[in-house]
Amino acid sequence: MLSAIFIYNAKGDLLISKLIKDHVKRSLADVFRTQVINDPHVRSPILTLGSTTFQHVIRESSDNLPMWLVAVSRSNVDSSMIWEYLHKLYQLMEAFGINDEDVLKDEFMLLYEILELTLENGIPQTTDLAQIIPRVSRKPIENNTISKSPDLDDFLSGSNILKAPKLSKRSSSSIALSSLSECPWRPSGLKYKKNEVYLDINEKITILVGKDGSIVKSFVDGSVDCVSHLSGMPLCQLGLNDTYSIHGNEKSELSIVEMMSEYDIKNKKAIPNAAAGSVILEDCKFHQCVQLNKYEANHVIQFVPPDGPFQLMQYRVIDNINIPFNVIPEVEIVKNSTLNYKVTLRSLFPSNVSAKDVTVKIPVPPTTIKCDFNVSGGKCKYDAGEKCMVWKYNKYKGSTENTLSGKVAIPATSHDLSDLLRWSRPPISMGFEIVMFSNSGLVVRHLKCQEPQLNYQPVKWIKYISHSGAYEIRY
Amino acid sequence: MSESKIFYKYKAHEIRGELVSDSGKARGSSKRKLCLRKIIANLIMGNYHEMAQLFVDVLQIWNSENDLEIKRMCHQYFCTLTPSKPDQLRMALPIILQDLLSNSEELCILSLRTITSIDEPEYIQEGFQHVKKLIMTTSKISIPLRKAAIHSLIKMDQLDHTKVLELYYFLMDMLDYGKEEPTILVAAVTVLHEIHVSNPDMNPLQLTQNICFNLLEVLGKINEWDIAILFDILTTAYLPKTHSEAHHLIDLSVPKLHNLNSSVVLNALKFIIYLTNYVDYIEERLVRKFSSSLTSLLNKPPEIQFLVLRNVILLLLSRDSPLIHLEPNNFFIEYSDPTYIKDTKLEILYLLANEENTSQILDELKGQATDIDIQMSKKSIRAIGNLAVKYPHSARYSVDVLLELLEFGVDYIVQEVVSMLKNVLRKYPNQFDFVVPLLPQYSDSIQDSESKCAMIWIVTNHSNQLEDPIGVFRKYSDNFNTEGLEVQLLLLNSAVKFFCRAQSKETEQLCLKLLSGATEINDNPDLRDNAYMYWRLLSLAGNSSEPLFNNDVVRDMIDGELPVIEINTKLDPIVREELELNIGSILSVYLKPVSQVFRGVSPKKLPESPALNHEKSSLSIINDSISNNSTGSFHGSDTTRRSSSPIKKMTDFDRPAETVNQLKDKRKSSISLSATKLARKPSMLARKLSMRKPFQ
Repeated sequence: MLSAIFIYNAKGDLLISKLIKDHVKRSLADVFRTQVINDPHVRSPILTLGSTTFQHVIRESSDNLPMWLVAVSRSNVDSSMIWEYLHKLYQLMEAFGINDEDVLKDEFMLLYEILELTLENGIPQTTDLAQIIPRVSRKPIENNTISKSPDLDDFLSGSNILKAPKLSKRSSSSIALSSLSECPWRPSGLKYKKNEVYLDINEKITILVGKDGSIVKSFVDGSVDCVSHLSGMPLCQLGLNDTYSIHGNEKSELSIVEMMSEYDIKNKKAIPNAAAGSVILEDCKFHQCVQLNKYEANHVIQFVPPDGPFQLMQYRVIDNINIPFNVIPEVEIVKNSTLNYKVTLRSLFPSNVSAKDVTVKIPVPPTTIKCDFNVSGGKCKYDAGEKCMVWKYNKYKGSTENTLSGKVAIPATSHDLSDLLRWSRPPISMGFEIVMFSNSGLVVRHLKCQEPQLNYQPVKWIKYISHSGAYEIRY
Repeated sequence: MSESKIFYKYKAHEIRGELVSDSGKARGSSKRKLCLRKIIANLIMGNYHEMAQLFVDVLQIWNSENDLEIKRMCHQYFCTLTPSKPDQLRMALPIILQDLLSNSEELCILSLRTITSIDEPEYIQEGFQHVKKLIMTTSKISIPLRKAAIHSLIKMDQLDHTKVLELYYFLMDMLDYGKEEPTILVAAVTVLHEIHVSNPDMNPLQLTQNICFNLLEVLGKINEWDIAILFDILTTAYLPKTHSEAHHLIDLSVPKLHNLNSSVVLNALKFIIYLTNYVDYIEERLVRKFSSSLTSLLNKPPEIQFLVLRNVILLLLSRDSPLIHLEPNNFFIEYSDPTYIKDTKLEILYLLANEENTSQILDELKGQATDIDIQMSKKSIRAIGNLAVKYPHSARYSVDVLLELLEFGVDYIVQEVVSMLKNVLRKYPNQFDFVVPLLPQYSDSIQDSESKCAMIWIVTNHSNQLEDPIGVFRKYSDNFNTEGLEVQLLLLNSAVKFFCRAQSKETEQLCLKLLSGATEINDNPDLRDNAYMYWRLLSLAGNSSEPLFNNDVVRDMIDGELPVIEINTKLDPIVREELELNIGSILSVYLKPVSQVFRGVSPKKLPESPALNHEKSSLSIINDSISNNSTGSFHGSDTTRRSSSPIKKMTDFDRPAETVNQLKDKRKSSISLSATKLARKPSMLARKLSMRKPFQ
């Protein structure tokens, strides 16, 4: 399958070269550098020269420079396997903190070690962090990849529980790879003093508003990210307020209510439509631990979780989503050399929730020579390099309206005017993060964990985070 | 710091010096480790020649140290350089064998991989013996080690095929018996598959029904990668004998479309689509499953998204009634999409167009046609033009959009629009004649040969709608000798047409000028031959002694009815069959049969079976509203639901804010210099802002 793997830094210096099959020579690394990295016109992530194919992914490494992960293959192979593997390989590099040029140059043997474990003859075998950890010589870095923003002190009443629990906490002596391969992703014999599960509902809302205010497309891509620190072999069941499981599982309705009471009441308060309705999940994708035939048959999400962090599921919601912001742009040309902007930003979520890191980028014509503005709140600056006004709020309260008015001057020659008329007007874009708000209205109803022998009640932490995806407004 | 100098090109003697100077000291081990890391780093940088000289030194360390990391580096060194000298190989063999018997699982695997990759009789002999022992002994051997042993057969097979064949039936029996660890079974079938693929004299791997069901039984107990490769192999390797068997296999595989791993999804999809060749009908539920499963892969990283999009195209192109039903707005282009995604989405939008949604798609394409990226813009215009030709009902709207773009007046847009209008005018002869008089004013913008040809064609064939067609024509014919061949040929043809239609002094002169230009000044043989042919035709027709050959006959020949253009977006049945068996592979990116991408690779074919449907178009997709509830699909009626829902407006979601922050009167400015100039009364500003006018 894979014949070689190369990793380059942003400049095209080779950091890792792993030749897997004999007929591959290191000189191929130079071919890729000259043909792809050094060629600014290359548009595709795949290149075939003769019988050799290079597939690459570019990821922004921890030092904010792009890093190239390249797979070389011969003849016609399964592309999906290669790209998915490269993607997962980078995730592993992240987990071990070697996604940085300097660190990688120092720790390259760790990467070789990971490659040895994850590939057999160039065919991916396993990429689960939980399975890799017990077999490599070094432990992953201790920052929890999931709960990146632990500013939930009010919610968690000051406990620092969301800070990554140390992976070494468990009694490592008893770890053995499960010899019963019923669950190849979970080592047997795990023991934790405190059994905990963290669920993060991460959502990314994508919206495209047309010139006439119509919503051209809108959807929410969500994922349920999980960190499990559970002893033994627990069987977990996740209940969501999706349409099917509510109507389909009436029998178990009682137990759902029961489970609800166990949960933080604060959760419900913050989520507007949650209690009211149910959500239509367009299509769900699950981690391999989820018993898909059970899901297919009666929509029960049942799984024996891997140990540590993993992504339990991904979903997409299209209907009845909670749109968090409305942006109303008005742009007019005054005389031949001035553009007047008026942009109104209105938050549509309840006033007891607030968004943070709210950014509105308002593009101005490329010929702009002067840009003035006035805002009713927040901070605004003109980015001459990117040719846009950047309007920022550290914190934006719900149900609040603010206005920006701007005046953009362009040279008054007729040529520039016609350029202006032809200006393709990139859309206004937004970025934000809202904690304890669900764009889709999806709520976790219950999470049951059953461990037949140990019989414990784990502590569960649930957090909702809504991010902006491509949030674009055309005008 | 010596640490920081790991990635630095060293000479062999420098590293040797370091090794020697520290050999006796207490901290020698960590020093040696450092030296080895320098060596490996040098190998990464390609400093092979110098590092090869350190062979003996490395061997010495290899032999004396027991640290796993050092061992790993030694193996890495050995495998990267693969020494060719027999004595070097002989020196290393005992050490490798010693590692092979070590207690450490990792080291065993490492040395197993090393020993099986060397093409040397002794190595093959020793390696094979160990591999055989590891595979045949079922107990007490850890799963990863056993798996490594099985996988090493792939490499061994390339070195010594006959030896590996000794184990072929052992592996087959293992699969037939099906009692091994699930992941071992997958490894075994992978090896068998690889052996068949890499030996052209062997027929493609065929598995018995028993083996196939043994493998599918463990589907729930193997990890994602094993599932993906299993589906990959079973496609074409297992042949369903009856329709009902194929249906059963589909039911077993469908749940895996929900896996998070895109490779599992695509391979499951490939297997299921392969099976649909052997069923008597397809349930509509499947079509919905495919569609939603593919759409939900669109939130993957861009590279994976790209592959998924290419496969969406594959499925849209392949069957007459596609196996997927997708909403176009899933493929609307986002500003931040990488170019290769934008391109592919554009193509999908074009393919998704049907009677109902063309206006929606055309609006989106229009937006993209003014993109800064010239290539994107051109492709969007091309898609608009093609839609006009493909769907008569949308032609009017498409032409409106094209004309709107024409007014934009940017050169490359004008050129592309004119090229597209030519096809539209040709497809609908009398419908859009009003377009023609609008075009000559854009003559100056037209520079590339394709749009020139389009313009010349329009002027010639729609000369009735123009006041002075010859005048417009002359703009191009005056530069006859400097034009490219394509334009020259068309100019020549058009001039003859003008002459045939209306013989006058003007047309005769025009015609003669081009004919003589083509034969005397120009030296392209094709052009010259063309010109002579026309010349002879015309002179024959002019000659009254040839009764069969008068002017009317010549006019019919040169200026006759043109065949109607049709756009067929479906693939050739043979190509489509091959591509469907290659979903998710490199071929699915290029959408070409294997013979056009990789030479000497034989294409995958559908195996013959009594259950095989030869007529794919007759395969019906049946409604399964009854079975719907029991299978528990979310998407009960989602296709109807979505298309019937009206277009949502932002105002539907809007609600008044509780807090409204007004603009402060004080004008802030980021550019201090301009602050004085811009000081204006707030009332003025308010007035300006209250003027609502759409921008454009």
